Amino acid sequence: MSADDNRLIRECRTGNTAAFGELVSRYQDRLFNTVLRLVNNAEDALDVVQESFLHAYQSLHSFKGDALFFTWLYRIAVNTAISMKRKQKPVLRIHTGDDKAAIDPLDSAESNRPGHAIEMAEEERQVHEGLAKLSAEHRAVLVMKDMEGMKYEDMAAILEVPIGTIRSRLHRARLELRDILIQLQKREA
Amino acid sequence: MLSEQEIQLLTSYVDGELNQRQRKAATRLMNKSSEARALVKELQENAHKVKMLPKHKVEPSLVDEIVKAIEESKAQPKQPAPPLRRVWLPYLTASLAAAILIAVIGFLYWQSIPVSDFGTKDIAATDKVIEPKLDPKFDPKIEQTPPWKPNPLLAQITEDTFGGFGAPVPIDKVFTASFREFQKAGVMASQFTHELNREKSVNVDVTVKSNKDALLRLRTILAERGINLIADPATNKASDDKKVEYLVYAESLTSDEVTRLMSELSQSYVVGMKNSQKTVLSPYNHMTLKPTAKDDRQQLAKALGVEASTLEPKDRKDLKPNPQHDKVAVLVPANASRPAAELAEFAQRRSTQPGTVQVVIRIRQE
Repeated sequence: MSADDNRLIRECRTGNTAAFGELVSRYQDRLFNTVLRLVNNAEDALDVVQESFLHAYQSLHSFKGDALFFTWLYRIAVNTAISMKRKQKPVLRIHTGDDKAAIDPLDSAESNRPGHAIEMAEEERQVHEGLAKLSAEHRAVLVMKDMEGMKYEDMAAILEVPIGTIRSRLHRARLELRDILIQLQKREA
Repeated sequence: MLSEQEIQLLTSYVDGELNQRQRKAATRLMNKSSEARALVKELQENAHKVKMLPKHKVEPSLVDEIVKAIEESKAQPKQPAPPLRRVWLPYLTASLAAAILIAVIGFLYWQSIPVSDFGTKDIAATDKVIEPKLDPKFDPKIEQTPPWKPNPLLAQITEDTFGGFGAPVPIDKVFTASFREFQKAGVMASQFTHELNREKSVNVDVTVKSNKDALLRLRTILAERGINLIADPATNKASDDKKVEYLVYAESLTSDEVTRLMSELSQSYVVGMKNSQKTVLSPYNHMTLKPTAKDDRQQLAKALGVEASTLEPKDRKDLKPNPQHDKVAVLVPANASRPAAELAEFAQRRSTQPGTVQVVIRIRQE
């Protein structure tokens, strides 16, 4: 864990909320982008992120410092997101673009190129839809692996399951996503 | 046509999580199979697409919102909760109570003994030899030690205190919990693990809504966890007959792994395909954990076709770990009398591992 994170956590434990604000500011984007792919909706993702930070603040006493603060925070957020998805009844969400009201793309220059933007948007929509069709567990392992580049070992620690389970979930998630994307491409061809 | 094993090798290759030997095997497979190459290419492209999904920035106001929420709720970081169970506390209390009791009894005993019994004390006090005053009725041929009567209070305390030592020792309390309680993990799971760690061999009696659903769920979870299940063929057609019970036996799992298994069994799960998915509640109802009894061991031994003595738990701390060991569970009908071939093979090559717990789960439909 970075020394700076350590210092901020020590300050938080004395009740310094501004120090916690610094931690939020440091990790909110990274956490939001992961959670967004898990819950498929910016509003829900913001709720999960906010809830995770509050939960983390209230549980700081249990943070032993033997893992990265972000890993610990990530575990809280992933479990919150999976739990939210399990509770939610399946609903049809129409991607209207309203989700982007609260968020700004990091790289707007690339998306300004018209031809490329259309292709990318189409591909993005399909991947987004494909991920949404996966179960929460399968989506979580794919996002952790492909977006965050995590190792099996770290994922197993975060999801509190054996490495063998991570391997088999990823295996099935990849094949399932492949089948879904093929179907989507066929449907839209 | 690629086999399931080959596809798994290739997906792990895409994950970048193969060792050198496995990577070579994957490369060989791709060199000889165009289907393998196409699959890897496709999976890698999909992984790249997920990776390249646009990243977003959260509005900076989120920080203020969170800090404000914390301040408004005056949510201070909670102090560490006291340990759930101070294991040493009952022992300390009992020791103190025993020490006080012994002191009181000792004092009363000393008080109750006639001073003359402490001849040396009297001698020391007077520095004179005291001639015993003989009773005129005293007959030296007959030993006439006057019957000593203890202090009645002392007699009562002694009887109440030590009388209990002769009584049968009460059987250890069993651990019991509903699977619903287990869903919340945390406290219940910790207690369950603690109880597992206390014993070398445990029996977990489990009640279920439906044998069929319970076994199906068990098979799925074991497969997900990479635990090899060796099942008696008779369990393939599990019966919802209340009279039929099933035994699950494992001796290569750690207490944490057993707890996780129980925890997963307690969770609801999703069945059906994509658009027709539905969430199903866990078929598991209740569990009772206790040390394995002789009868349980004999029944299991019969089902496995081994001598009960071979199932006596060993002290696994002294065993040398074998990194190659498989995680295995065995599933048999409780009334099985002749082991199936698979089980006989298991019984022959079973090996215990350090840090594991011997567990027998008895599944019974309510």
